[in-house]
This record gives sequence, structure tokens and C-alpha cells, in this order.
Amino acid sequence: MTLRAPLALAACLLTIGSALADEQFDAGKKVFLEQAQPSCTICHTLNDAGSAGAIGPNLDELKPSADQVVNAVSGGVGIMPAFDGSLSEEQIKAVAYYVEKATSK
Amino acid sequence: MSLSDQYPSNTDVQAEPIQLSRRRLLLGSAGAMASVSLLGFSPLTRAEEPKTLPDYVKWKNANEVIVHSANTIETERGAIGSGVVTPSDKLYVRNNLPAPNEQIVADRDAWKVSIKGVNNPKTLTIADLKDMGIETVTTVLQCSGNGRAFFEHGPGGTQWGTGAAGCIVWTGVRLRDVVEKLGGVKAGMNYITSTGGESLPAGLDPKTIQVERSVPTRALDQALLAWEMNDDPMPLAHGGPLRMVMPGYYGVNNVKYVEQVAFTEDQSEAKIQTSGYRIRPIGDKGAPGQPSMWEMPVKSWVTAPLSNTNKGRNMIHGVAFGGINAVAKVDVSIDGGKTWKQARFLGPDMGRYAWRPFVLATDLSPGEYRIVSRATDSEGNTQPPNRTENERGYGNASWKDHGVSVTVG
Ligand code: HEC
Repeated sequence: MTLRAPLALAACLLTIGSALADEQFDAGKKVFLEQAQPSCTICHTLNDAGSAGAIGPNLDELKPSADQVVNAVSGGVGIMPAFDGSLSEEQIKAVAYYVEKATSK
Repeated sequence: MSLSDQYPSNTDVQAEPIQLSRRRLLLGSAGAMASVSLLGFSPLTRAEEPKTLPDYVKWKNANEVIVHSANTIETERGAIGSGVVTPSDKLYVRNNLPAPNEQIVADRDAWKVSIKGVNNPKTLTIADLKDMGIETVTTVLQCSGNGRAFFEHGPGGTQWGTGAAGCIVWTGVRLRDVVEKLGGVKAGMNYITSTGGESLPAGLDPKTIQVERSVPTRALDQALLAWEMNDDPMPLAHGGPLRMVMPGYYGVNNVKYVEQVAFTEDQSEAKIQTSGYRIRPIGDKGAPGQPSMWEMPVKSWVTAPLSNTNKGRNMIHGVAFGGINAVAKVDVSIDGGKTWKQARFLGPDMGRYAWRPFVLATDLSPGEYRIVSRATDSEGNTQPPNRTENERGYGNASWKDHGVSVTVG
């Protein structure tokens, strides 16, 4: 939370650049965009996924840890549904990895 | 961020609101938090980091609140002080869905609410409601997750300390009076089901995220359809133009932007009712059979001093309430609960559902103190020492968790 606009942006681009080759990252992005039902994109903004949902927190600003994502996706939080019945453990791990990577500084 | 800094243990609750406010400041949904995301803090300015409020709550007192996210804003513990009523600009905000557009409060009297499950169902405007009766009730409004930050298993969701609560004066019409004018409740109806008027995104089954809450029909005794809060038109952030107020019930049941009130045989099928806001063992999923977050139990906490104070005579302040019952008394201990002294209630009694500020004058010599308070309600129920562990971190009334460690010098 200490890196700010220009710095954070640069760091963000770097992270994404190096992660592109990453299978887990791609798998997680697929979960985020398509496999999760309802799709994470309906409710969340995440630049890397091109989503602008405004029901839940903006993930680019929240920058959640992978643990935090696993927690939220498995059990649900507030009105966010739980996905542990519809996504496999691997899918949840992948989407957590993806969200952390795509949003970390 | 590690789990340990996310979920402080109850020994470092003092430092917690500050850490959380820094950590949580940048959360939020795109529109409402646009101003926040534009802030350019440098590491050097962290100490005096400004708190930027989302547009729909711009009028809040930024110095007295902790911005966890665009839709979750907490009152600072010390800001309550010895307040009988919580000023609106310090009151916490917890919106399950983003607040609707300002336009819905442009013509308040034209807002419509459908009343169903009565013998003569009807859609009424606020103007119609104003002709049916008027009443003012003071209640403690408290989020189910207030005190979640003290749970040690790390339940997800907003890490509220003590500040997801306030004592509020509501003005509106008793639901009972409305129902009487519509021929009374239909036979066999067990629940009052209120539906919020937030707009939902396309492509989603409304039941997934709609804010629709059912409470037992016994709440008809005290339910109020309110259009004023603390003598002002109901602010948008708090459910204006019209909010269902369920005195003695947790915040989530006080449905904002209420557009339908139905007396129903069964509880709502919305997720927020069926699996959300249910008390269950850690690790279990939410399900209809588990206790729902309805009536609130007795609770209290100290609001001053919170960390340091001078030796000599001190006033220990706090607030106490009985939830569904009136509060009868509150005891204070400066030795972590070994010995207790009854505190004095301050100011006027605002009724069964209100809280009462309390004070205990005491002489303190230099040293470390654990100051705790323990309230008892009119039925003789006393605040428990320990929280009931549960998956989502709801309903924390533990007096131990809500104590403060104070250094006297
Ligand atoms: C139906 C809307 C909806 C969908 C679909 C949804 N979320 Fe959420 N999400 C929310 C809301 C609302 C919150 C805020 C919950 C609260 O604190 O009340 C949230 C919170 C979160 C959080 C923050 C949790 C915390 O610790 O504060 C993360 C991370 C998250 N969602 C990730 C995801 C991912 C990944 C997906 C897809 C697998 C997803 N969400 C799908 C609505 C949704």
C-alpha cells in the first residue's frame, strides 16, 4: 500500500509481463472470466481481466493476498456467493494466484 | 499482507483500527471510490494519511471514521464518547450493495413501497404513509459483524472493531398502523420480508445478491417505516428515502431503500437470508437451519480512556444496551474482570432499544490496566465473558474481547 500511482503502474506492468508465460496465471484468468458462475467480472473491477463490475470491491485497489481470495471465493463474503460447490480446489487456487499476481504492485 | 496483520489477536486491538484504516483505505468499487484511487500517498505521508470518503458519504466527518471500503465505514471507538445519540456524520455505513443513485432522494414523498401479505395489499407512497401515522423511536443500529476483528480464526469480511454501531433516532410510521389500514396481516404469515430497492446487474439471478430479509412477525410490535434519521430526511447512505427499522434487531434486517414489505409464510429465498447472516461452527457453510442474525443480545464497551491516561482521577466512559431488551445496569472493572463496580448511566433514557452512555469515576495510580465493562439487561441476561466462535465472526458480545489495555502515567 505504499507504492503509488506511477510506480505502482510500472511495477504492475512488470509483474504482468513476467507472469504471462505462467500457466497458473492463465488458468486462473480463465476461472475469473469464464468458469466461475456467476462470473467474477459481473461484480468486480479488475484491469487485467478487462472487467468493470461495481457490486464488490475494486480488486485493483484491494490488492488481495491469495489467501484472502481463497477465503472469499470458497466461503463467500457478504452477498458474494460461495464457489466451493461449483469450482474445484485447483480452480480456486488458480483464481487466487491470478488475482494476487494481476493486482500486486 | 500476512494473515497475522490482517486479523489482529485481541491483545493488539488498540493498534488495530489504525492499521486497518491504512490497509483498507484503497478498497472499493469503481464509481464510488474514484476519488480514493486518485490519491497519491508517498511513504512519507503515511502517518497523516488523509481519509477520503466516497462521494455518497462525502458529508461524513472524516476524522471520526475508519474507511474500510466504499461500502463499509466504521465509527472510531473514541468518537462515541458519552454520546446519547450518535450524530449522523459519525455513524457507520455498511451497504451490502452499492448505494443507488442520488436521484432516488430527489422527490422523497413519491417513493413507493408495496405492502403485501395483508388483506388489502397496496402500493403506497411516502406521502401516503405520512397520512397514516407518525412515531419516533430510538434504537441501537449494529452490524452483525461488529466485533469481528476480535475473532482469532480470521473470518473474512470487514474487520469491524466496536464502531459498526450507533444509537439513532428514527421517525416514520409504525408498520402496525399501516397494516391495520390495509385490513390486517393475512392468516398464517410467519415473517415480515423487506426488499431493498438497489438496482442489480443484468445476468444475475436476483436472489443471488438482492437484499431481502425476513424477520419473525413478532417484530411487528416495534417495526417502523422510517423517513427521517436524527431529525433529518433519511440520508441516501442510510437507506433514504425510506428504511425499514427493526428495533432490537441486527442492522441487516433494517432494510434500506425499502420498496416492498411482505408478510410471508416462509423466509425469503434470497441468499442473504438462506445462507448469509447465519451462525454456524467454524468451517461450516451457511444454511437455513442455522440461527439467523435477528434479535441482538446485551452488550457494552468502554469508549474512554482507550490507551493512555494521566494518573489520578479519571472518568471511564462507555455505552451499554440490551438489544431486544432494555439495559438494566453496567459494571466496570479496571483489573480485567476480577473486581467490578457499578457505573452510572448518563443522560436521558431514550427507551428500551436505545443505548445508555455510562461513566465511572475512579482514581488510577501509574501502571497497566485492563478496563472492561459488562452490561445486564432487564431480563437479567448478562454480557458473556467469551465470544461464541462462529465461521463468519458474527454477534460478538464478549466483554473480554471488548476491553481495553490502558497505560496510566
Ligand atoms: C454476485 C457478485 C459477486 C461475484 C460473482 C463475485 N464477487 Fe467477490 N465480492 C462481492 C462483494 C459484494 C464483496 C464484498 C463483500 C463484503 O465485504 O460485504 C466481494 C468481495 C471479494 C473479495 C474481498 C474479500 C475480503 O477479504 O474483503 C475478493 C478477493 C473477491 N470478492 C474475489 C472474487 C472472485 C475471485 C470472484 C470470482 C470467483 C468473485 N469475487 C465473484 C461480490 C461478488
